[in-house]
Amino acid sequence: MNASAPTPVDEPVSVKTADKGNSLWHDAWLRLRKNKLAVFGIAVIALVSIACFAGPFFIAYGYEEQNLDLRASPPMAKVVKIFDPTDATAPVSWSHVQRLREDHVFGNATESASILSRIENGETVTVENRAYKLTKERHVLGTDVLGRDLLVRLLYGGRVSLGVGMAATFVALTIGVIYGAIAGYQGGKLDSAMMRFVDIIYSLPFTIFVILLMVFFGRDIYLLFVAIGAVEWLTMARIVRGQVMSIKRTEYVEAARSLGLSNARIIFRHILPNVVGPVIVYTTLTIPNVMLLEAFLSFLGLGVQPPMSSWGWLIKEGAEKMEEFPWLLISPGVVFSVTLFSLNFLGDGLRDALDVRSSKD
Amino acid sequence: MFRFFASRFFQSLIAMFVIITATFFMMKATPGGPFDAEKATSPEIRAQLEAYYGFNKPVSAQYADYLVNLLHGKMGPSFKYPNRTVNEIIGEKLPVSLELGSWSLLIALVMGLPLGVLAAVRRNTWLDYTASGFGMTGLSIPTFVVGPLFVLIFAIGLNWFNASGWYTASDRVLPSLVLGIAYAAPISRLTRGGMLDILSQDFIRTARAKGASEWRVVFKHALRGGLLPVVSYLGPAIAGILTGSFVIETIFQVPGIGREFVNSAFNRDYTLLLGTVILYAALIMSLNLAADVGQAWMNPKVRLDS
Repeated sequence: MNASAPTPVDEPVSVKTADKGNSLWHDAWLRLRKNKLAVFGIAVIALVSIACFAGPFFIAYGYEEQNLDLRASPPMAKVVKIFDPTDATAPVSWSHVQRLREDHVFGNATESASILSRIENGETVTVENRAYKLTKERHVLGTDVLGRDLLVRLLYGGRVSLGVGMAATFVALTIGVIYGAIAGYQGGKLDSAMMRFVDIIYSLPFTIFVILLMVFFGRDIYLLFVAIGAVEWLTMARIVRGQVMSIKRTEYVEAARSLGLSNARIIFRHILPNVVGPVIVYTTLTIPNVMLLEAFLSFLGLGVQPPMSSWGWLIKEGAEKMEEFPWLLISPGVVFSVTLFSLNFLGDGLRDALDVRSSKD
Repeated sequence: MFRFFASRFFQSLIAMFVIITATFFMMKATPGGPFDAEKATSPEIRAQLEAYYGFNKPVSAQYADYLVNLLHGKMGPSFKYPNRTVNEIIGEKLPVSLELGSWSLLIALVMGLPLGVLAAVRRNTWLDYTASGFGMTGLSIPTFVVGPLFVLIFAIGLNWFNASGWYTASDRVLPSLVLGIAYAAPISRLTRGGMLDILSQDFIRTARAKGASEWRVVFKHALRGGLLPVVSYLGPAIAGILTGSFVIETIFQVPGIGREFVNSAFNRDYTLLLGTVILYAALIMSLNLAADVGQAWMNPKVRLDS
């Protein structure tokens, strides 16, 4: 852009872009845009992320806020306020229409049905010193066994799951890229020593080590993503090393070296920018792996501490109670799976778009 | 070949030593011990216990003792199951996990391989899309979602199987199926990719040109090369099936080694924990080695000199 002739300030923007050549990234973006599944993936990821990070601000409940009267309400249950008829300001307890019906609070079936339909019509009904009034309150996805709003827990859980996924991937990315770049650029004995080290670590049963770490050093969320990140960098290092080894033989790197640039400058300024493609692809595919690992640990009871939630934790809770309250398993399971789907679609799409001959991983 | 095998074996020994050492000292470094029960034990009993298990010696001596015993094949007594040795517990629980793993592997191969081959041969048809969709589904829905879901549908809803347990033959179905499907997905993806690579090569064109039937082209010429990626994946996959089974064992209450591993970690049953970790590590490393050798046997182009 700076190379082109100076353009008048008021010239339309479209002309400028037309002058521009198609960069690798522009081409890749065009190809990616044609891939419907990848676009769907991007849309879902954007939607889920926005919902998780902004959503809780628009919901009146906190993730740890319990209402034991309303425990295990099904999704969209019609919440009924129960109070003393003489003092409407102080609710005695809460319930919902379905539960009032099932518990036969209002005697026989016909009587009960008529009272319930009056309540559902918004009337305040008084039965045996108790007034019942339908409220506008709804738990969209229902509540858990402690009467906490499942939607808000799902969104907070998403923050943790996505956050851990991204943070741990970032750790893996940083270690892997630097390690791989140094090994690939230096070559020789240093390279074989470094890669032999990677081989040895590769053969360790790392899931087991992460579990041991979590058991022994407590369920610390920061430790969690450091531990996961420390596991996931190996493949990244291998990919980057391979790329760097092929790039360092090119003429422009030779030229940079003949200019007397330092090794660090050549690596970071001239080689690494050309490795970005495979790194982006692998990063996109690492995030779902990390999220799976986090969920897996939470499922074993080793993830975040309650009352905080994560998707794995919610799935664990749901799986324990699924016989009576299946919605506790279904919505976290669906959201988690759909998000992983989208990340995998996006990763596959990016791989095709950037035409990377990636590793078999 | 021998050189490769020897060097990899040596590497595995080093890794094994690192694992044992790291786990041992990690356990010693953490607060809390196996005798921190809810009921307070009197100091005398506690001292006796600690003497019995050698806890009164310095850590380095305990470590040396452990290694010497290990070389004799003894992994010591369990802390939480009185009067039982780790060897006995592993001997009792491992066969269960192996059985579960074998069924799962069988299911994974029987489902994954044909799907992958079909998807590659009928590329870009509905068959391919169905198979790829299945692969993506298996990749994205974790076993701890599929497991409870299957229980909900097949055990509670349809009442075909028991929700948990490991007593009758039908109890084997659900756990093996869930674990098998999880690995059928990547196997079908790898098979499809490998077959597509091979089917576009010249020697396949030659085979077709000389009039070989499609059946013969696929099974006689393409399959061997096309399955290479699967073979190299099998090592990690079998290791994953065996070690990853603890989620399945937890969901379905299968009395296997995976549950023992998780419980021993929570209970701080140090000897049992170390025993299971060593077992897992040995399994994973020998399977990886076997996969590398198998790959070299199938593909002469892979050199085994590194």
